[in-house]
Amino acid sequence: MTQDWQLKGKTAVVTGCENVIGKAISKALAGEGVSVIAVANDQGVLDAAVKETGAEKGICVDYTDAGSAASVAKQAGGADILVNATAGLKTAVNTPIDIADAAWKSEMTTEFEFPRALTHALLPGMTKNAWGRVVTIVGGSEPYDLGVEYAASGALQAWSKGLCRPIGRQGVTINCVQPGLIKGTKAASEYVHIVTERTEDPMIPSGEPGEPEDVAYSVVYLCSPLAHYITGIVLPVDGGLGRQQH
Amino acid sequence: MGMELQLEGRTALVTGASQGIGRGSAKCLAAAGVKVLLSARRTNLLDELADEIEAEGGPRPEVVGADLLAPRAAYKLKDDALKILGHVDILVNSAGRSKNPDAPGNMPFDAPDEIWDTEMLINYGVIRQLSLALVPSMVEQKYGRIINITGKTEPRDMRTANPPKAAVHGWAKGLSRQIARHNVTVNSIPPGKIVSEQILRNYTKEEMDHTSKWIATGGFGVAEDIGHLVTFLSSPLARYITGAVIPVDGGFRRYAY
Repeated sequence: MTQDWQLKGKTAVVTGCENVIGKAISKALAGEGVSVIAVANDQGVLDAAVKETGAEKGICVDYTDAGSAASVAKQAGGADILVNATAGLKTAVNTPIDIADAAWKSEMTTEFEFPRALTHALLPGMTKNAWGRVVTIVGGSEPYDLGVEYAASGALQAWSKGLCRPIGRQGVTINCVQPGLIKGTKAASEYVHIVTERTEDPMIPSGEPGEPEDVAYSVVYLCSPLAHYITGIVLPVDGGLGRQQH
Repeated sequence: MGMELQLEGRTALVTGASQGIGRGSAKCLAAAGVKVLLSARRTNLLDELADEIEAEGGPRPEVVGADLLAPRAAYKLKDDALKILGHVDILVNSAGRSKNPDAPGNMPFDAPDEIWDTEMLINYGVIRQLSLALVPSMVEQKYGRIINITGKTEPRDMRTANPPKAAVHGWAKGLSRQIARHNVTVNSIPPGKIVSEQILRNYTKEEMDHTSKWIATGGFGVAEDIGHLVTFLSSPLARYITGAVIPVDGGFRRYAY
């Protein structure tokens, strides 16, 4: 029995394709017949990602450049689906409290301002077509320490929730997916203690980090027309890692 | 290669299957090839649903009558389910109600204990009993999906449904941590405004129009909107989602995270 997720022929822009999560999402969408434009900040990495994922083409961009979002939107020429997956690209444990403003702003731009601006740039085309999907990958809601990613995550979630209202009647949904520790990400390599400590009562209830595909499947589901009544939510895909109960 | 649900041959017990979200969930699961055991008080409605599912090409569901407010009803239903299905891969706890039909919607502070106890039992106690009764066999078979249909956690006023549905969220989160290593997941879906027998009984047309103004997508949902997510969560594709509360509400609730 083959499930039809009704995505054939749609177009998608997927950012963060220098990361395993962005790549897994590109591949999963392409597997459903979506024409994917992959976005990454390094030409060599991007070329490899396009080849590996079956994306239609790639756009290389420095996320921190002024006008980078507008440039991507223009080169893409519109999209039915936007997946923002720049979260966690620069995750660093124990950010110093005297972190330089420029460093903080650079990461905040990559993880919040760029996805926000790109979404706003692509939305008019979606609302005009009366169909669209925005899915944003966000970091944790339970900060282990000081990190720009947590601030960006809070901002993304509140922005996404607010934005679901003005676009909800035009057939466009916007949701967040919140991965836990995923194999091959920078976070998984930096938070190794979460994986290895307390083996009798592991921090990750499922017992091990997730696969990038676990995240990608949920993104595909939220992009499907079957999920049209889901908007403004944050979906954790974390093997039970997060502690919050609502 | 496309994303396959891999649910053919799996089994599911769906409570509250005679109407609304339970009915929609049973239909979506059966459409994915799941053998469903339909449970509710009104077995005539379950028989009709079984006919409908079979006519649409799904595996013919089994039917079992159960009044979950009867003494030890959850334990009897567990025994019936294991006997009829052989084993249970998926449990959809959909039986429940937003209010006691004999009580006011907005409860006075001096309302009798009996009303609270009954609503706590039907919306939380029975879900806990039935789930825990089936968990050992799910752990044993290394596959289990428990999906609770709950309610929003933003109380508008003093509703009997809010505390038990919040209790389910907290209990499910705790349970999820204990059993995740055995490929048994527990998740909750708080629905928004979904057109159902209960909603049509409790809302006038004017009230539905007024409420729709507060829904981001502009209107009420249908049972299948929940059923599709129930089916996805039942699949091996969703193995890394557990302890989650996933609203399907068209953007109705307000809190961001």
